Amino acid sequence: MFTRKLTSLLAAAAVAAALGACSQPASSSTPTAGSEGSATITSSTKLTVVTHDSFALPDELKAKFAKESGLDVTYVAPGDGGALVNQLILTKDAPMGDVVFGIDNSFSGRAVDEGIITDYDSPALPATSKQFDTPDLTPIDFGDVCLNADSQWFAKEGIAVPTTLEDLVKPEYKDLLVVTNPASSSPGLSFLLATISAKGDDGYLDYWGQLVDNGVKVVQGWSDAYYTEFSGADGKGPRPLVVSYATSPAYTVTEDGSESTTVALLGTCFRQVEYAGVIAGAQNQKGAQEFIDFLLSEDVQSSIPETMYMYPVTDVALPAQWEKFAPLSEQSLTIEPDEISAGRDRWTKDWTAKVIG
Amino acid sequence: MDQGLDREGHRLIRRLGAPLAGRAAWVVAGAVPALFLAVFFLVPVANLVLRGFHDGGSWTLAGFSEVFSAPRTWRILWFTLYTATLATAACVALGLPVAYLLHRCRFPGRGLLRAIVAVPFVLPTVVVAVAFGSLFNPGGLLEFLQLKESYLAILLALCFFNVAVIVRTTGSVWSRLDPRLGQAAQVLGASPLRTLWTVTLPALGPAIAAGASLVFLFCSTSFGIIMVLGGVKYSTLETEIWYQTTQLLDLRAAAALSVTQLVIVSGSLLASTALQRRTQQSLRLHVDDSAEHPLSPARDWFALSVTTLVVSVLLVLPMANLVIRSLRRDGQWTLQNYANLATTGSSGALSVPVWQAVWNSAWIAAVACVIAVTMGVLVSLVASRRPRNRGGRLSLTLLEGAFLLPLGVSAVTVGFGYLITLNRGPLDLRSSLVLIPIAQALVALPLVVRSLLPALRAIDPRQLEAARALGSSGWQVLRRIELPHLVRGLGLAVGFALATSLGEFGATSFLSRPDNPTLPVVIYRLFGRPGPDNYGMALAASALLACVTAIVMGAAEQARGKGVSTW
Amino acid sequence: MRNVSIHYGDLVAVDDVTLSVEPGSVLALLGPSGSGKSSLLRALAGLEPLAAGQVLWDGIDLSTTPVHRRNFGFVFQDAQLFSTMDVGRNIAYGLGKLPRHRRQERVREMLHLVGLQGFEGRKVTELSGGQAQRVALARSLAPSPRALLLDEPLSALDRSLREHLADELARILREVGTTAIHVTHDQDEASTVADTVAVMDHGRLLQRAEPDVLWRNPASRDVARFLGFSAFLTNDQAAALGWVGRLGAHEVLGIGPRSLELHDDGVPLPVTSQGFALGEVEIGVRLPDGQGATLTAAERTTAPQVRVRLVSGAVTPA
Repeated sequence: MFTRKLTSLLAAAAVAAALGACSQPASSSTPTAGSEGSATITSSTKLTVVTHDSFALPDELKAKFAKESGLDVTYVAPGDGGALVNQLILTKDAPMGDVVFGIDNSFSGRAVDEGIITDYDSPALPATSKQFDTPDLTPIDFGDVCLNADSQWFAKEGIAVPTTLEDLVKPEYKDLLVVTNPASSSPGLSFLLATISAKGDDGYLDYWGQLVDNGVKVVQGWSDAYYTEFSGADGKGPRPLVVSYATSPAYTVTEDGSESTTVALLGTCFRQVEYAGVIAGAQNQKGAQEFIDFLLSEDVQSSIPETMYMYPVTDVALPAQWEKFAPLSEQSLTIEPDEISAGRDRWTKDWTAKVIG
Repeated sequence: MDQGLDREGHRLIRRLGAPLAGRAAWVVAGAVPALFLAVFFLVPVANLVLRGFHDGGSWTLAGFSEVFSAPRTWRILWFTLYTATLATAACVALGLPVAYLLHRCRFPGRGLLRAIVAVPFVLPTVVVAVAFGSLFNPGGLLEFLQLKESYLAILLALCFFNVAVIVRTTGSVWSRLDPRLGQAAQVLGASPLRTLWTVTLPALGPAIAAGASLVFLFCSTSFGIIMVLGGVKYSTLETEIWYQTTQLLDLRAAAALSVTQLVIVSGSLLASTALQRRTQQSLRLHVDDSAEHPLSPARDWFALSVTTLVVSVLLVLPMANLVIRSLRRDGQWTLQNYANLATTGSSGALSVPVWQAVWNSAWIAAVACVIAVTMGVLVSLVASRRPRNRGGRLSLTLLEGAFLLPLGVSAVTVGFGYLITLNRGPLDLRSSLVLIPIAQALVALPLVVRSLLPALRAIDPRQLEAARALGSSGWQVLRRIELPHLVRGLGLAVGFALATSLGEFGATSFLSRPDNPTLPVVIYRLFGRPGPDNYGMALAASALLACVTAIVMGAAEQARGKGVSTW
Repeated sequence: MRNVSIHYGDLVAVDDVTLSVEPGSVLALLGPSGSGKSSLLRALAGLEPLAAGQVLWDGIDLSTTPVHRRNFGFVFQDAQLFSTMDVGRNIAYGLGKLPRHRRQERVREMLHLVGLQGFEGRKVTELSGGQAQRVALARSLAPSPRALLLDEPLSALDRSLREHLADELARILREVGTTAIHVTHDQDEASTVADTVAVMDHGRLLQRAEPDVLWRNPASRDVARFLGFSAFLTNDQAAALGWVGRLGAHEVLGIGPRSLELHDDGVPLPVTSQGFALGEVEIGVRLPDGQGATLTAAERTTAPQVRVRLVSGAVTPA
């Protein structure tokens, strides 16, 4: 049954790709321009998948894809999100793979601008998920980066859990927040973008100045923040507020399963979307498209919450714990990818100068 | 024909300026590792760095003026040099008493102590950072010292890694320094302190300086320590190169910084190599260990107390703490964290169970070891020739120096260099697993060469002359005298190669594949994933990696021949 | 030195030796290698721990005084000059307390004494073996030690230099008038340098005497053998070879290289070997009782026998 579905998907994919190529003739200056012009797509028996370093597709699914596509698949994970895009830019002349997964919306603008992606509209992407769509790339999963609070700590101290960004600069929340460095950590960058979205390009630095005055602590990476600084996790650190994911409270559920000891502050969330794309100049564009379609298949989409802590873009069942403890933010903050692409380096530099010195 | 070859080889033992056939053999022996170095190191690195000096149309040095007009660069440069200098001074101060005790005094348990001191040097940065972190972090044993993300924590971790370098370089010379030199001073009325200060230390001077310049090199290029323990406050040249390259793709700035780093690194490497050579030549060293004396607490109290402090607090405590924490869950003693190593972690943190990663690490280390030792043997044999002419000597010094360079070029520069260099035809190895052991072999090669060369240089030239006078051909001398000497250094070289490869993280993280991760990569990933299971597994895997490395190094120390530990 | 013993693990290097030196005199400690003489000397300087016994100076026990407070000079077999300093600073090393100009003066004085005027600025690596040993001597003498201890200082040098330096050493020691103990395995060197010679073997003191007494009357066959007396004859056997002296009841006569002379009226003895030493011919002969002995002659002999007369020997207890 699945096979039939896949075959039809593949056929649709091929048609869509051909159409896509025709409708957009040689608009980019990538080496693939010629092949696009002749409306054919490259194919090969080998497929190289480039992912970020926390990519974790279960073995069964990898095996399934290999079997059904008949491709010899190699997975490479050369770095985190930012480094991944930069490596693809660096290797534009001789691409290091066929398909990339793991470019998020803070880097997608750059990836598209640099012409490292060949446009592909996957027929497997349901119309209901078009809200995530962006030119050239295909959305696979999404999530919210939110501040998390140790609700037990706040209950014990008799202080109300903060709810907004404004709350964080109030004296009662002095020395309680730990965030990660946007220069080296993806949730850190997302939280910086959340503040920029909320306070504007001209106001965010002042806000950070207030955060600094109120004793915000910056650490290098998410694990350091969550496990050693945050009081609600294993490390039993000193700070009850931390930058993490909307889904994190689903992993601090008490043994009886009745409640979570932490809570995500849904008013502080920045929406993160992760995309896949066909790498420009790929040796196996056909296989790349098949892989993207596969990522949107029900099997992969349902595995995403468990393996990557993100919400699938298609409408599949979510883990029970998530329904209860990891709701998405209704009003998450966003910035357009091209705007991020234009401002990101400047924002991080200015932020570094303001907060770290 | 055979005889002709033999005769040529014969002369070669003393100089490279021998006629064609033999000379060609040595050139080939040198060319194989040189080609390896060029393809997998020099060209990729040069390729990336040169891009920073080319703006698409013409060559430009704009990167330099841009980078060096920023106050941040100067702050980083100053911090790098300042920290490296301070850490080096601390390592020398702590390392000398330990070197004295472990190499000049005889006492039961000395072998074990030597192994304990030797292990930290090859431990993976990830593990060390975790170990120190878990000590100073909230809830840690030494939380009250308030050292988390402090400058002192960085210095301590740098010393943890590098004190072994001082102990080793000076210890091996000290153990063979004629004790009567110091006695001569004492009989002339010099107190033990004055003797140490005016006679013993100056005699050890070149060895100390050689070790110190190596430590300086390691400290000034340290990446993981600064990244993990330094928090966001501290940046060094190395972390800045990483940041500019991976996060901003500002190749101009990265290239300018890389060249600056290379200048610093080459300077300390040249100093170290020259000084090491001077030590080997200038001191009339005992070959045996007759300079040792039984430990006497009354006389050696100072060295004894410093060593006790260094070993117990600086070296053992962080590791012991790591092991203890890996055995605890929710305040209970348990082996659960270790049992979990058979799983892929909670919520699919990994694509393979940790044991699979152990197996990957093992075979990759084995391959890397074979490559590194093969190349190392060739390099050492060629570099230990004793040419008579100045040009020959100079080219050998350069050869030796070139193979030490990987110590001083950041992994990210090598990794990104691979991406844009090894990208065509049969050399497109970017998605191949083969690149991992190759990159690790490059990192291990400097240590392998430094373990093998002293063994060859220690051969008394008269021994070679005697063998030739007895009618041995050049090849026979090589086989019967030089190779057996080489074998004595081999144990140590293999140990270093294996341990370095097992712990290598920087280059590996760029090259490893999600379904074939190595142990350090798995540890890093486990720490980056939520869930107490993953955290516990990361601790257990770190402890496991530390133990395996310690066993490998301990075995290498045992297999080490006498007097071949100068590096 | 009273009842001194030195042990290396289970090995007894020096066994219950008591020895004294007259102030201003030179004592040679003579013995084969491994006899314990160097250990004894090092113990005096405090460089070896004593297993038993005492080191006394003017009646004061120095056994617990650390090396650097004993104020002995010590000259090692291989100079042990400090290669990080020049000659002048080597010599000045023990003069820490003196003011600078006094130190320089003393260095000049010492260099003059050992015949190396103007060597202050030389690097020690540029010195020959003999020069290095002279500098070492100057360095040890510079602080005016209460006694000078010399541990085979000449044994690493070649023979002609050694003989020359032995004379020099004797002159310098007399000139300075210092008390000295000179350890050597060379019998001639001991006689040249020392006023008194003490012979040691296997960690024990065998005999202590002035050189001429030692050679005439060794205290035992062991001593005599070490001094080069290879054969021992009874009174009758000696007389049969033409000796004119008389031995006591419990004495034998040690025969050394100078004991026998060629003589036309002598006793014919078979020649066993011939060799050269210092330009003279050494002829090996077999004594009537089968023991071997040597004598020196100006020229080689072609005859199977030589006529020999016994002219001297060491009177040794049987």
